[in-house]
Amino acid sequence: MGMEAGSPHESFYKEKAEQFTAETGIGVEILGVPHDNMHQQFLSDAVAAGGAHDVLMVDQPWVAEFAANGYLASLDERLSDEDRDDFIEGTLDTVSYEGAVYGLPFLVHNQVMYYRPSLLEAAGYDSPPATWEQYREIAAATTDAAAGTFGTMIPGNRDGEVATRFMSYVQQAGGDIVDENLRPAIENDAALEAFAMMQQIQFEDGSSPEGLHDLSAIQGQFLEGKIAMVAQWPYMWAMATDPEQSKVVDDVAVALDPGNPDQVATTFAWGLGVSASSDDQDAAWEFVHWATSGEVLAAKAIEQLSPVPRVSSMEALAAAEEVSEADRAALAVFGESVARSRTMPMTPAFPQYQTAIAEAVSAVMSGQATPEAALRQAQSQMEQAAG
Amino acid sequence: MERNAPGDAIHLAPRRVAEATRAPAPVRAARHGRRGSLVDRRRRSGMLLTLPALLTLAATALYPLLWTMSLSFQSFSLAVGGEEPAFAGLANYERVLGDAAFWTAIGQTVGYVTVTLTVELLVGLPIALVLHRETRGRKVLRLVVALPLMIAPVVAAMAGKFLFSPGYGLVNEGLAALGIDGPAWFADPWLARAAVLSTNAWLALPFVVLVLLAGLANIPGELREAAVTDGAGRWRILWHITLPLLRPSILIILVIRLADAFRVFDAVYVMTGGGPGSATEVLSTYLYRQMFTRTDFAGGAATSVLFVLVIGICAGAVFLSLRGRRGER
Repeated sequence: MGMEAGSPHESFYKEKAEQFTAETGIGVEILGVPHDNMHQQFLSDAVAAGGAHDVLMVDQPWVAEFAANGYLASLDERLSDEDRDDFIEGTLDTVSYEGAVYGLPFLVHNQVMYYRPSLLEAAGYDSPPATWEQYREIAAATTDAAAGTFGTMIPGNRDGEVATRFMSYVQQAGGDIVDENLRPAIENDAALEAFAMMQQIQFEDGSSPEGLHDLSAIQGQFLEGKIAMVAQWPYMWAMATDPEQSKVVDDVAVALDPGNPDQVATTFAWGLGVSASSDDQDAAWEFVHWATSGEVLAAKAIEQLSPVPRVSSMEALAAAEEVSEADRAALAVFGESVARSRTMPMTPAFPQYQTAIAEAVSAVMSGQATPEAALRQAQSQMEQAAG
Repeated sequence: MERNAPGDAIHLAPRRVAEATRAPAPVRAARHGRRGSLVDRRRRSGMLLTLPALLTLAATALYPLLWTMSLSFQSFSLAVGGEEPAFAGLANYERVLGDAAFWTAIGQTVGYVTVTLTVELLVGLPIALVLHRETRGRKVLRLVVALPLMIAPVVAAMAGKFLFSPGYGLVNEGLAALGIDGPAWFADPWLARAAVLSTNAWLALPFVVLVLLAGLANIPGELREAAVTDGAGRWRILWHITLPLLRPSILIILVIRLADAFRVFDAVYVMTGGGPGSATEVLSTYLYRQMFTRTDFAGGAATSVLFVLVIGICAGAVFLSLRGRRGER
């Protein structure tokens, strides 16, 4: 099985695999693959049909591409109605392509707002922002550039994570990067509004530190206590509340991302799929099914304080005594944020869409292109990718 | 006793010449035969000994190159049960050459290679000249200069990313200590290029310095002494003796580093991702995206062939130009 090396998912499943072997007699070897190499390695293996991995840990953007090319086995006939009903509504869509299921998700999440209540209170605000207007206002009020603290961090690096962030902004402004037929449609008013908000905070207000920020810089600066509000994935909650990793342990809370007016954020998933070139697809399916079962996902949710896509697991999490009130409140926000949002477009061209959007964001935030020109170029690149 | 006149040993009588040449003739013929067979045997054993290396090279370099060239003229689908490979003529090359991003990448790559080689030589030469002198601590300094050779490029790129970070990077901290407000390195096209270039130059500098040191060690000391006796100053010695005699070393550096610099990937991928915008996109990162984001393997093969051609032409031009000048001397 190929999994993201060094991720909490790898360590969890490595620990649990023995239990699966004891129950079924099927041996499991988990091979760690660095995150940046996963797509390339799985793709190369699939093209060669070498069957190096029976089970693949798949990021949602690859699902449509792998399914369309026949690299993932369809799980439609194997998945029972009972199982389908236990997955939270919409979560199976994150691993589906053209109506068929090609994997089972173990994590469906989106970005929420992490903030430091003490900084907001000191600036005269007793609740986190719900709209972009409030977000901009509070970011400015909590900035003290001379002291090295800023209200927020606007992403701008040329990478896929920054592209996903921009997609969330577009959805928050009521738009999307594709139309109802999944054809590229990023040249729209919502995308222009998103750029306007980013530029105002970054350049006009100076409420975001200088530079083109990526996700790891945003995470690092927040955990260092230098930023009042940032958008991040749910996994940061465990880090932010761990004294060994965070300087804001007693001063951190989460809320829905502010909207314009929609408080949403594009959802993404990680799942497990069966490689079409596996010579033992039955055993591979058995592991995938077990690893995403209600019981195992409940254990994962409680251990990692992260949302999982099964109803039964979330109920177990809610009843778990070891989960604190603060953790419970954070988990409720994570769940609500996913419930009110929609997922990324399930098209094989999505990775290319991401590349085009990342280049556009980077060009605008470095002052090399106007939002209109950058969106025009992104639209053209996306249309070329869509064929 | 017959006295030989001067030149007798050379101008021998025809009979004596015939005797002298006739007697040892069979021996000389035999010697030639043995030498010939010895040369043949040596040649054969030499070929046998190098054959494994040649076969390995053919399997790991020649075969992939030929395969890539073959792919570049085909159209095919990567999907399971998809379109069978078919001859596509120059369609893949037309697609690549018609892509504006390819020309951006190629322009930036050639610019990067030119500047990086110039910087490496301009910085490496003074360091090599200093390390060549008999000074205290020379060995320690040589070790320090060679240290970057032991660092993986991707690790150096990660370190570079942190060093040039505007918020907490050591470079801006240093500038702040001097009263200078450090810039956001990766937000400006030229500064981002400078950050990538300096990280790569730092990695390559030890190679440049070590080759130049080896070249300096081969320059006879008498030449410098003679020049000093003739009243030549340091600059004249450097310009008229040291640099011309370092030309073979510089040639080695240029040819090897040129091919190496063309392949720059780690620093760009890790530090800027090709940004801001596409300001640091180079051929390697363009190729990577083409292959693994667009999954355009046939187009990627065409780009690879063009890539090899560009490197070959540039390396060949440098080689011929410096080699020609050496012949002129």
